Amino acid sequence: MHTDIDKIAAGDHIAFSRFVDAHQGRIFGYLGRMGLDSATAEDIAQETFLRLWRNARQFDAKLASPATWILTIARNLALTHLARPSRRVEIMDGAEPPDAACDRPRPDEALQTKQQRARLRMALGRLAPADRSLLAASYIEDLGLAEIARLEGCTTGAVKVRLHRARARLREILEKDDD
Amino acid sequence: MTEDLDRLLAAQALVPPQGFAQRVTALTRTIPQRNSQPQPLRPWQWASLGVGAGLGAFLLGEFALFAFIAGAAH
Repeated sequence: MHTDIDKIAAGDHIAFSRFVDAHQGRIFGYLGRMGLDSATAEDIAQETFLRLWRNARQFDAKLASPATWILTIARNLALTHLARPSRRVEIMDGAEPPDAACDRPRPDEALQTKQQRARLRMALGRLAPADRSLLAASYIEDLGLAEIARLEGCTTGAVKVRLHRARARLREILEKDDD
Repeated sequence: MTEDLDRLLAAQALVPPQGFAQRVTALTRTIPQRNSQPQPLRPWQWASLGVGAGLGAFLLGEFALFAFIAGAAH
């Protein structure tokens, strides 16, 4: 995979397209679990890959794997987005962001599932952005604790504690919402 | 509730829209890449720097010599 980054750094568009194909699912999955709507996730994912393209020559395999690097870019962009005041107002108003084509429910998806998704998105909106990122990262397949720690800039011990607290807080919010 | 949370979070994942990779790849055709580190100096650049530094040192030495002679003459 490092050779792909080398090729991208050399301006190889085919290698870049292959890289996007291989990583887009992870990035969209991660952004979705952070509670972002599909339009925002698409904007952030696009900017993530474009930043990778622009900065491919700065990639240092000693610091991170390409998968962790691309996730770090996505995380930073998502946290910047969530820190914007306009975004906070949106969450406080309880406005449900419009769904775009990519997360349109399948025909067999029940209304209840849609409501649950909306409920979870609202609950995620009440968590600290860094905790949302941590929770979302913990659901990425093949991403170990050490990689999550590198992504979040903390120790594996801190990841475990923060993850436990974030899950407890999310559960609490959802349970309160049930009452 | 834990299972519910896992299920809910798993269902929250988004799927990339159709043609996303192609669209982003098309955008890169107009976007230049940044250089990682400054390029190493070429031999003629090193030579030019050496000549400049040598000339500077010579002029400084000359000034110091003249200042010393002028001082001694007084």
